[in-house]
Amino acid sequence: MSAAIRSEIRKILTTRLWWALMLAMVVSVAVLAGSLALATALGGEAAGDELAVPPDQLALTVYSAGVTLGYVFPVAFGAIVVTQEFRHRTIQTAVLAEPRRTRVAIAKLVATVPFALAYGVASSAAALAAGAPALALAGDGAMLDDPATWRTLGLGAVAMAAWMLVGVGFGTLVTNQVAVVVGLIVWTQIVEPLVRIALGYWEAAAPIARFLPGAAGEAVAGASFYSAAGLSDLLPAWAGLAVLLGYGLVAAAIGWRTSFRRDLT
Amino acid sequence: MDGPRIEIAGLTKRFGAVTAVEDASFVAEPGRVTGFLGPNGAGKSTTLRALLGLVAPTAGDTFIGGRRYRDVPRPATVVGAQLEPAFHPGRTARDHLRVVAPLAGKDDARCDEALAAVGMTEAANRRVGGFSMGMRQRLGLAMALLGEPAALVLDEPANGLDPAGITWMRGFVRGFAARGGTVLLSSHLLGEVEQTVDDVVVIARGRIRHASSLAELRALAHQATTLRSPDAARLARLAEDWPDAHLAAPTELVVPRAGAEEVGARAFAAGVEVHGLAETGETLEQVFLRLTEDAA
Repeated sequence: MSAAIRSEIRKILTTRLWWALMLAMVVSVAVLAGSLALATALGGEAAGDELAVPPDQLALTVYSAGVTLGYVFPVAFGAIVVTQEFRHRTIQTAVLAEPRRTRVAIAKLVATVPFALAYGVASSAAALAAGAPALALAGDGAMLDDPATWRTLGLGAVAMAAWMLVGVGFGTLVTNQVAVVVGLIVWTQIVEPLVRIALGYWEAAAPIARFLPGAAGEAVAGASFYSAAGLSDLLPAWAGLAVLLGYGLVAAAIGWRTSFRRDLT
Repeated sequence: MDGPRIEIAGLTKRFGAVTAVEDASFVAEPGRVTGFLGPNGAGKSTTLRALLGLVAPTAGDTFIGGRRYRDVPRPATVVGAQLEPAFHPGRTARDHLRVVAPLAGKDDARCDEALAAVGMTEAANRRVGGFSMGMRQRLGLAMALLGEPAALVLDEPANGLDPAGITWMRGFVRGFAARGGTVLLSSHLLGEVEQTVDDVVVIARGRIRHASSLAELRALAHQATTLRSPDAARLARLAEDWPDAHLAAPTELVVPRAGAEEVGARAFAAGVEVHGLAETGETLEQVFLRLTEDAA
């Protein structure tokens, strides 16, 4: 099993995707965190005190910028780790060297974990590096002495890591690279926010929104743009993490029974 | 080298309503090169992929050294497979080997050895995206050799190779078998592998049509004699009197399964002026075509 995991880690390290997407994520999260801090702080001042977001709430929203939008990068990376094997048909090489396909599938999931954690740490570091100076400059301080800040940054990293494993799961289920990456982004960026808003108007269904993947991801970090905007309630952090990982594992399990069993012609 | 015996035993594979391979059985013996021949779409690749555990048989079984592929521990060290090239364009040649190396129990030094064995040392650190078909074929062979296997399964290994590459591949495969290894290679052209193989297995439309040594296949070639004469009228009369014979042209008579002595004597007796008398045999390629077309 350790040989299969080493093989999968080498697979990731020997192409440029892992650092290219990580770089893109760091830049995006930094820009988002910085501009969110400046725009909200300055906008709040201009509009007067009654419309301003409370400073501690603003800081948490800024520091969780990765979870709010930057998760697109780890989720896409996780999916591509699996789908590129089917796209370039290198899956046949993997299965020739390790015919026990279940081991190949598990090795992929395990090999992704260190990269998932690295993406998580990089995302929180980017949010901190861009958000703290912007908050200090424009708002009521960077809130670096507030334990809630560090809790959000740490749990934000965990949420980003979980998103990558969701990507691996869905990549295993839908092995068409374009379909799964576009599908995941369209769902998380467009469909889910609309569904959450819609459910928000319908009291009986409102609790369901908390179990959607995007909401679960935000719950892990305990703060989000949507919840700050009062659009939806969130689960406790541990439950959010369980729900998010659950999506990934269920998708991976279905994919293991379907796409990993297919004839490789 | 002690090559394992490769055995296909009653293999049937259906893809939905399409039967790709039906009840195919043959063996590839160690120390010999077995050519697996058939037209495109005959079922060659499907059979090889079933042997390698990539395709699940509908019925029947396949064995390498008496074991199914999935039951062979560290299969890369027992059988090296070169299929249709499939590489990640952004990964270098050497890194493609390094990815498989842990599963073959090999280190980086062995990766370099395998690249050297196929003459790719120079291109080791280049990304595969820029490789020609011939280079991809060589890299595929290096991947097959990585685990130092005693059997090779090669699917159309000559595809995309230039004449020098084909000569090189021929020598390589012959040497591998001469050292005791088992080689099973497929091709849609008999002429391409005629100088390489010891045994031939012919498949067409999913069924095995023939399996024997190359010498036995040669013995199936029909002999014929061609007679040329300017005297079309007498030649036509001779053809009428001789049920086996037929006119290929008004001045050319072909008699299958007859030697020059017999045809010359009959021509002399009939008073036909002879300008040419040649024994022509069916080529091996024609025998192969006949075997595959009989299927139709």
